[in-house]
Amino acid sequence: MTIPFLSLMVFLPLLGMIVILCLDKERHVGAIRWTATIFSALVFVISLLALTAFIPGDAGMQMREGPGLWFSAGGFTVNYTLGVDGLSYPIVLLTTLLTFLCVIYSWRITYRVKEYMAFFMLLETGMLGTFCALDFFLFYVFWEVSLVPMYFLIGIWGGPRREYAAIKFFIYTLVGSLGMLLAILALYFYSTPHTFDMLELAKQNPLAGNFWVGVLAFWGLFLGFAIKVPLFPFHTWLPDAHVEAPTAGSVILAGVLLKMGTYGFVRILLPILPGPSRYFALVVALLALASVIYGALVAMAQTDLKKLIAYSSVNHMGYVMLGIAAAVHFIGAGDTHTLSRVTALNGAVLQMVGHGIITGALFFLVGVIYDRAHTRDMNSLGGLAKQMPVYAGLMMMASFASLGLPTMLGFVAEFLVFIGSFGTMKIITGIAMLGVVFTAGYFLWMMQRVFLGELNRQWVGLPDIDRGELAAIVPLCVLMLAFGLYPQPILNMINTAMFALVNNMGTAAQAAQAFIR
Amino acid sequence: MPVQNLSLFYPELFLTSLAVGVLLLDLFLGREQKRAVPVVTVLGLAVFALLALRQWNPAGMPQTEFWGSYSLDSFAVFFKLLFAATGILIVIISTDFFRRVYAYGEYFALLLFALLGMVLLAGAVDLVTIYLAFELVSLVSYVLAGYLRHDGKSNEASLKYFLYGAAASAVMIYGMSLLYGLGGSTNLATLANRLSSYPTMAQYAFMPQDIVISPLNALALMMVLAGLGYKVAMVPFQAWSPDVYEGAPTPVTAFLSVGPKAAGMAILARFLLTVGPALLPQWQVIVAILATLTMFVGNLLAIRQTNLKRMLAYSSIAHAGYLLIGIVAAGSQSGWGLPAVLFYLVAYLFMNLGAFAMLLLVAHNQGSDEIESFRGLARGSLMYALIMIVFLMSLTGLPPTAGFVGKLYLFAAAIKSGTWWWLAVVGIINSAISLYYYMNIARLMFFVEGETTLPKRPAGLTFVIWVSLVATLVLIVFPGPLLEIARHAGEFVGVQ
Repeated sequence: MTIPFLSLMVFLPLLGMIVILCLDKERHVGAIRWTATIFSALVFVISLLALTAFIPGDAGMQMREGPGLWFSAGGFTVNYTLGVDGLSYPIVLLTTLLTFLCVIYSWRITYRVKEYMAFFMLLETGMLGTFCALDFFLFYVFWEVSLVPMYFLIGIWGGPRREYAAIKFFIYTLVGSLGMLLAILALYFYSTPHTFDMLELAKQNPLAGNFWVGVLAFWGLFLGFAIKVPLFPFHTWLPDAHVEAPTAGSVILAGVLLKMGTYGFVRILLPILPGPSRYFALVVALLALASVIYGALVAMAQTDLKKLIAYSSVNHMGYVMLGIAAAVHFIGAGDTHTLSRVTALNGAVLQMVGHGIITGALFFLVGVIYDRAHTRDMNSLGGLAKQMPVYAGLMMMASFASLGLPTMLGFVAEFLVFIGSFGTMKIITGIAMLGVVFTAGYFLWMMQRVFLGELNRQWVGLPDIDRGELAAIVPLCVLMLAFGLYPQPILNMINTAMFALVNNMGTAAQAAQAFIR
Repeated sequence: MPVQNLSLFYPELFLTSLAVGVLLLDLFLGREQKRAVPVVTVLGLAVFALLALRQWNPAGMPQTEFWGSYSLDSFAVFFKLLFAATGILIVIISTDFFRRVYAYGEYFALLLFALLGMVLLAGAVDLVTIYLAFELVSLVSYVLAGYLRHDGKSNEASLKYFLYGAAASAVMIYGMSLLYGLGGSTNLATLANRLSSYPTMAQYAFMPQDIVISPLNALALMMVLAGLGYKVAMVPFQAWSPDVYEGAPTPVTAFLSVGPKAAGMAILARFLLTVGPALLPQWQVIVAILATLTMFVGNLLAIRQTNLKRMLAYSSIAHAGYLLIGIVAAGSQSGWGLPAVLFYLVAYLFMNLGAFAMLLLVAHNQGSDEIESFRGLARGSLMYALIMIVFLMSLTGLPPTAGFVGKLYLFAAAIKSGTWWWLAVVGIINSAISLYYYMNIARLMFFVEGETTLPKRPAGLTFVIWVSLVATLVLIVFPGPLLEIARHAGEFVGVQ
C-alpha cells in the first residue's frame, strides 16, 4: 500500500487545529504550543519522507491521489485529486519548513496563543492544499482557505495599523480570486467533456479557438495571480500587510503566499491558456520590469526596515515574473528558444524557492531587532554590528543572498532568470538587470545604516539574538548557502517539470498561432 | 379539472388544521402549560414535512388541483419542505424570545398561518390563487412585525410594512387585471399560451423593427413585478425592509428574511418563467437590471449600518439580487438557473438563520442589537465567535461553506446562459464589497479590545446555531444530494 503523503500533509494541520481548539486557552498554553510544534514538525518530516517516493526525473505528476469523485451534481463534476511535480514539490517543502520554523519562532507569542496557533495550522492546510490540488474546484477552495487565517493573523497580532492592513489584504486578494473563479468557470464550460481537472484542461486547451473568451479568461486568472504575486500596479496591499503582520505572518506571507501567485502562473496560466499567455507575454514582462525597478527604487527610499524588506519582495518577485513572461514570449516564425525558455522558467521557480528562504530569514531577522529595540527606523539604529555581532552576521548573510551575491541561492536563481530571459527578451532583460544594481544599493545602504557607524547609546545593552530565534533563522541561512553552492538537487526536480511544460507548450504552438490570427 | 383527489391536498389541509388547532390549544392551556404550544407546533410541522415528502415524485408529470389553479409539481414540494424546515427553526429560536410576551401561543398560530400562505404561494399557478396566498402571507407578516405591542419601533415596523405592502399589492392586482384583460385567463399557463399567440401585439410597437415591445404588456409585467419584488425586497421596492427588519422582534425579522422572501422568489421564478417570455420577450433585461441595482444598493448601504438587524436587512436585499441572477439565467433554459436558485435558498436559510440566531444569543446576553455588542466575542467565547465567522464567510460566499457552492452555481448559471455572463461579474464585484461589512463583524469580534461573554445560552438558540453550522458545512462537503433534488424540483417550471 502506498502512503497518501499528500493528504496526510494537507490534513494533519487541520487535525492539529481541531486539537488546539479543544484545549483550554489559559491552562494549556504549553500544550497548545507543543501541539502546534509537533504537528508542524510532523508535516515537515512527512514532506521530507515523501522525497523517497519522489522521482526527480519523472516529468509527470507524482504521488497522485485520486481522482476520487467528490460530487457530481447539477452539472458540475468535482474530483479530489492531489499530486506534485518538480514545480510544486520544492514549494511544498518550502512551505512545510517555513511553517515549522514559524511555529518555533512563535513560542514567544504570549497574546491569545490558542487562536494564533489554530490559525497557523489552518493556514498550513490552505497553503499545502493549494500547491497539491490538481482540480480547479479543490484548488480554489484551498486558495481561499489560506486567506482567512492570514486575515486574522494580521488583524489580531499585527502592528498599529493592523485592522486596515488586514481588510485591505483580504479585499484585494478576494477581488483577484473572484476574477479567477470566473475564468475557472469559463474554462469549465468550454472544455469537452466539462472538467475541472487542471491536467486535462492543459491537454484540451479549451479556449484555443475563442479569442475573446480566451482573453477574458486570461485576464481573470491574471488578476487573481498578479494581485497575489504582487505585480506592479496591484502591489499596494503588500507593504501594508507585510509591515503590519506579526513576524511569523510576514514570513509566511512573503515566503509562501506570494508564491501562490507565481505558482498559479506556471501551473495554470501557461499550460491551460498558452495562446493568450504568449499573446500578452510582453505586457506581463513590462509589468514585471516595472515591479523590479519600482520595487527597488521605493525600497531604497524607506527608513522602516520592514518596509524595505517588503518592497524588496516586489522587486524580487518581479524577476520571477520576468522569467515566466520571457519563457512564453513569442518572437516569430520558426521560434526555437526551448533552452532559453526552460532556463528562464528554472530560474523563476528557483527564485520562488530562494526568495521564500531568503526573505523568510530577513523577516525573522527584522522581527528580532524589533522585539528588542521596539523600532524599525533605520535612522535611529546604527552601529549594531558591535552590539549584536551574531545577529549582524546573519543579517548580512541574508542580505547578500538577497541582493544576489555569488555562492548564494539568490544569485543562482537570478542568474538563470537573466540568461534565460535574454534569449527571448533582450531589451527588457537588459533593463531589468539594472535593477540588480538598485537592489545591491538599498541592501548595502541598509546594512550601513543599521550595523555600521556609531552605536546609538540607547542600544547599549541590547542582547544578541537568542537560541529560539537562532533555531528559526539558522536553518534558512544554511539552506541559502548550501543551495547557492550546489543548487543541483532542486534544479533537477524543477528542470524536468519545466522542460515538459515548455515542450507541451511547443506542441500547443499551432494553437497559439491560431489564437493570434 | 375540478377537485380530482383531495388527498393531494392533505399537507395543506393538515397545516390549516394545525394552525387552528394551535390557536385553540393556546386557549385551553394554563399560563404554565403554554410551553407545550411550540412543542406541538414543531411536531406538527414535522408531520407536515412528512406528508409533503410523500408527494415528492420527480419522475411523474406534475399534477394540478382546483381547476388547474394549484400545482403539485416537485417545485412546490421542494418549497413545502423548505418552509417546514424554516418554520421549525423559527419556532425554536422564538421560544425564549417571546416567553415574557403576552399572547405567547397565538404567535405560533400566526407563524403557521404565514407558513400556510407561503406553501400556497409556492404551488399557486393562477393569478387569483397567487393573490390570495400572497395576501395571507402579507397580512400575517404585518401582525408578526408588530408583535411587541408596547414597543414603538415594532409598531412603526408593522405600520410601515402594512402601508408599503398595501400599496404594492394594490399595484400588483392592477397589473393582474391588465394581464387578465390581455390574455383572457387567470391561469398562468393558459395566459402564456394565449399571449404568445396574439399577433395583434405588434400594432402597439413603437420601437425599431426587430424589438417589439407592447407598452401594455410591459406595464402589466412591471406592475406584477412591483408586488412580487416588494415581497423579496428587490430594488426599487426594497425601502421598507431596513425599518421593518430593525423594528420587528428579532425572530420575526429572521423569519421575514428567509421565509416570505423564499416564497416570493418561488412565485417570482414561476411567474417570470411561465408568463414572462410570452408577455415581454425582453423580461430578462428588466430583471437583470433590477438584479444589478438590488445587489449594489443592498451591499453599498449595508456598509454604513451600525445595527446588525439593519445590516442583515440590507444584506438580505443583496442576496435577493444574487438570487435574481439565477432567475434571469433560468430564462435562457440552460437548466442551471433554477436549481442554483433553489440550492442557494437552502444555503441562505441556514447561513442567515445561523447569523440571526447568533444575534439573538448575543442580544440575549448584551441586551443590544448593535454590531458593537459583538465586540471582543472571541475573548469571551472563541467557539461562538468562530461559528459566527463560518456564517459570515458563507454569506460572503467564501469556501468552505454552503454559500460558496450556492454562489458558484448562480454565477455558473449566468456564464452558462451566455448573454448574461456579465451578471456573474456584477455578482462577484458585489461579493467583494460585501466582504467589507461582513468582516467588520469579524473585526469587532477578534481584533479590538474588550470581552463579550455569553453566560446565558438558551437551549433553543444553541440548537439552531449548531444545526445551521452543520448544515452550512455539510452542504459543501456533500452538496450532491441537494443539487440533485434542486435539479428535479426545477424541471417542470416555466415554458415547456
